[in-house]
Amino acid sequence: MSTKYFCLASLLVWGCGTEKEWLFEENIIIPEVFPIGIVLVDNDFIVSDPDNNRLVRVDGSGNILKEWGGFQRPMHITEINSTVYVPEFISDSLKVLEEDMIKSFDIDASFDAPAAIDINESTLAVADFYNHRILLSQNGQISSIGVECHEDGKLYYPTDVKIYRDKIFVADAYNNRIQVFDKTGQSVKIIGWKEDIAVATGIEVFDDQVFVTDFYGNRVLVYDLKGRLKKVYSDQFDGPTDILVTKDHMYVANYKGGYIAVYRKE
Amino acid sequence: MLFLILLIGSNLLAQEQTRITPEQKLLVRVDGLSCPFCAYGLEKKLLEIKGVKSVEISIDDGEALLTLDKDAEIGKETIEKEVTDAGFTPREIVYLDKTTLNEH
Repeated sequence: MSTKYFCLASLLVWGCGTEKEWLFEENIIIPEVFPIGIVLVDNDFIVSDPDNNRLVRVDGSGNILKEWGGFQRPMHITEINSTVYVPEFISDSLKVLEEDMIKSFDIDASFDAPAAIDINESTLAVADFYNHRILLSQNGQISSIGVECHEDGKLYYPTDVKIYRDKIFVADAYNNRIQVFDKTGQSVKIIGWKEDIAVATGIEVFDDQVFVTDFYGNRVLVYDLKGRLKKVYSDQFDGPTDILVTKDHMYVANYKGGYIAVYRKE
Repeated sequence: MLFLILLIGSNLLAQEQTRITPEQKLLVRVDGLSCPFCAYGLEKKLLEIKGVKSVEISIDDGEALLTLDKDAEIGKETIEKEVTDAGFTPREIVYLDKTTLNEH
């Protein structure tokens, strides 16, 4: 086979080597911080540090630039236009950090240990840990996804949630999987059930890929939207709880290790 | 004279220990404590018990150390129920007296 035809065949099968991989770059150690959630704001990280009931702003060298205390176990946070949305595990409430001010963020629903929040346009989703459900607010209309159990369509201690296009991706932590729902609450896909995920603590969906942190497996698993496993990263993690992906970088918050693992796309 | 000094000294020490640990402490050992979400969840449920002032969780040891209000009376059944509701199996509940506490 000539080089030209070989490359053409490769292009069809493998994208001719264009599928880039994530390469480890560095660990950003943050002294005395045990991160659960992570977002990026103006090239700095904002990290939830529930052990110390605070959010901290951290630069790329691990220096704490600022901290906001007084939270009650802030968990998986999200950011929209530099405003950070914070679920408080202990107080069963939502807060916002906006221009240095911490305010209440009320929706017409009650929680038992909200573990994560995500917002996409007019849709808001909260992982309601002890109620084993996702609370969904669409244009102000509240609905609920999931009940406690192990079958498809049911949830068992959800810890993270992401809205991507018209689907809701849930880290169904103690069902050891990712579950995908449509906005009517119908389960449309189960991801990761073959990979023996120990505890699926965090999830990110970016560029049609699903990234999952496995807390006890000390892994990050990457799937396509059809649930096909693409890659497993396992060399740099110590209790990973959250993952943030941009065009060029992948950042993994490690609760036990107290650092952010940084990967660069090559 | 030396005896008197030692006696006064030991009394002062005893009073100091009483001041340091006026609350009751209770140690709860559980099975299934495996991640921070579990730890904070257990903390949350235990804090909902009337008379529990604070809770310290050790994920690695599978333990929760409760500080109780001075006059709180909390039965083991109450603790067991909250631990079970939190999603864990209660293994052992130990009321710590001051002597035991000093060993922790």
